[in-house]
Amino acid sequence: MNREKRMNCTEIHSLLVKQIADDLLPEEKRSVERHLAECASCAAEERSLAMIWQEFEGLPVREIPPELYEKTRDRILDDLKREKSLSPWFAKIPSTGPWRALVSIAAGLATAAISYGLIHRLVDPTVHHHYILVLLFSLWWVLFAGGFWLILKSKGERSLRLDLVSARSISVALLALLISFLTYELEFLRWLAVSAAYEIAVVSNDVFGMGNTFVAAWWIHCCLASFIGAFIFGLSRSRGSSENLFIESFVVTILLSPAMYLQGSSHNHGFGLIAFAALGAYVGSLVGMGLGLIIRRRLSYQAA
Amino acid sequence: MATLKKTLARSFLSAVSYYETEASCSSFSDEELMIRYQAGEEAAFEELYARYGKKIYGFLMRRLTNPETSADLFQETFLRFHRGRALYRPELPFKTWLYAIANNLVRDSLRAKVRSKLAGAAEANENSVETAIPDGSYKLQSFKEAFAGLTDDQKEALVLSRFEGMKYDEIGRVMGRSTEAVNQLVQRAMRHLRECADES
Repeated sequence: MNREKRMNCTEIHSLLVKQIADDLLPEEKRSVERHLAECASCAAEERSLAMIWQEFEGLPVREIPPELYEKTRDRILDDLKREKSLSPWFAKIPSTGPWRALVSIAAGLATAAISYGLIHRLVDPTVHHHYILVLLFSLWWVLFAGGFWLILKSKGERSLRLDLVSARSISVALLALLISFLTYELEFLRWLAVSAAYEIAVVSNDVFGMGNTFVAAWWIHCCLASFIGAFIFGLSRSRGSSENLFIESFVVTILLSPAMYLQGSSHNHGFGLIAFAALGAYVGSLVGMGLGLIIRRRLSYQAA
Repeated sequence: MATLKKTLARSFLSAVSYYETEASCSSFSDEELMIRYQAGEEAAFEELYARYGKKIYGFLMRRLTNPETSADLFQETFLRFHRGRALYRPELPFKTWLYAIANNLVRDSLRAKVRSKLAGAAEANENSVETAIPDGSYKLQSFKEAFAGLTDDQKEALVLSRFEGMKYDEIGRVMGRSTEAVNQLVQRAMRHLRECADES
């Protein structure tokens, strides 16, 4: 009995400071109070600790010097203002009425032109009729214009996530096209891409009994572009990166589909190529974002 | 003309919603404000600063006692907070994140002093700054001396618990320790203070 009481007292002693700091769970608090009502030595211990806790009240509190408080606040506010002024051109774009539509159409046209500039070397004009090209690049223009319209529409409302999706999708689509362009233009990159595609095709042939270097090249291409994009989004500060991931992959695939179809149809792989590229985009997005989020989580407390 | 310009600017920048959110910033949680601050909203920063500026300075003063060092670290804390805001994730409790920044700076500062050859003299000088405050109470003076005799970890845990009103799990996050480790630190610190009080 005596032993049991001593054990209980030891346990209670370990909770007394928590009791004074008001950090006990309700059931722990009840147990401590019940014990203190019965045990005079623990009650005395609790009183002496509470007196020490109370002693802190007497310590003088030094107020922050007003000039230090103001100076630090002003320095950060100035910095915030400077950051905002980095993109004054974007703030000046009117986002109301017909302006929004006009700016979106113009921006969509410019982006489609850049895209065409990046991809035109890959398109064989002897294979495709001009009306097909016009139709496909018009579709591209409409999709880009829609993306810009969403960005402008939600310029002042941070809660709307579609603007982030469209902004990222346009960036990733352009990034993917840039990778195409560089891969086509630079000898070393072309060799690297063809070799990697060849190896994947060989493995695919061994495992699934089918494989194609051309399709594998597109798979790598979309996977890489989506990986880079998703990795950046995973690290970025905005909310909802994970929720946006699959929508973005989907939008990117739609944006790139005309180019993929053009390339695929030259080799009789038309829509099959789009399906493989979409798969590559999803895999790249998933791995890239996962990695980005893990690194960000680690950095978050380390930065602190 | 000026009014027209103002109205146009507001409509172009969707500033109406901005002013609305500025007025009601005080109703947001710390985490919500932090998200707005990440998006560049100045009013959100001002609200967070108003909530925590004085508290952080108090925390630094209690840990370091030297006003000059505290002032330097106060500025450094908020500059790091500002520069590192992109790395904050809303699922982290804001308060512990901010205190972790301040606490890590205190630790670095104390470590640097220990490494310095003049560490002993500087520390003695710092303590004398605080203990020299004329409060007319011998008991309080000896209490301060007893407090100065605690280890850095014990001081850290005790200050966060007693003055910043943090729960042990929050302190654990700030210090990078388990809740039980924090419990042990606070207990040992309290018993040390009581022993000193008994002796005096």
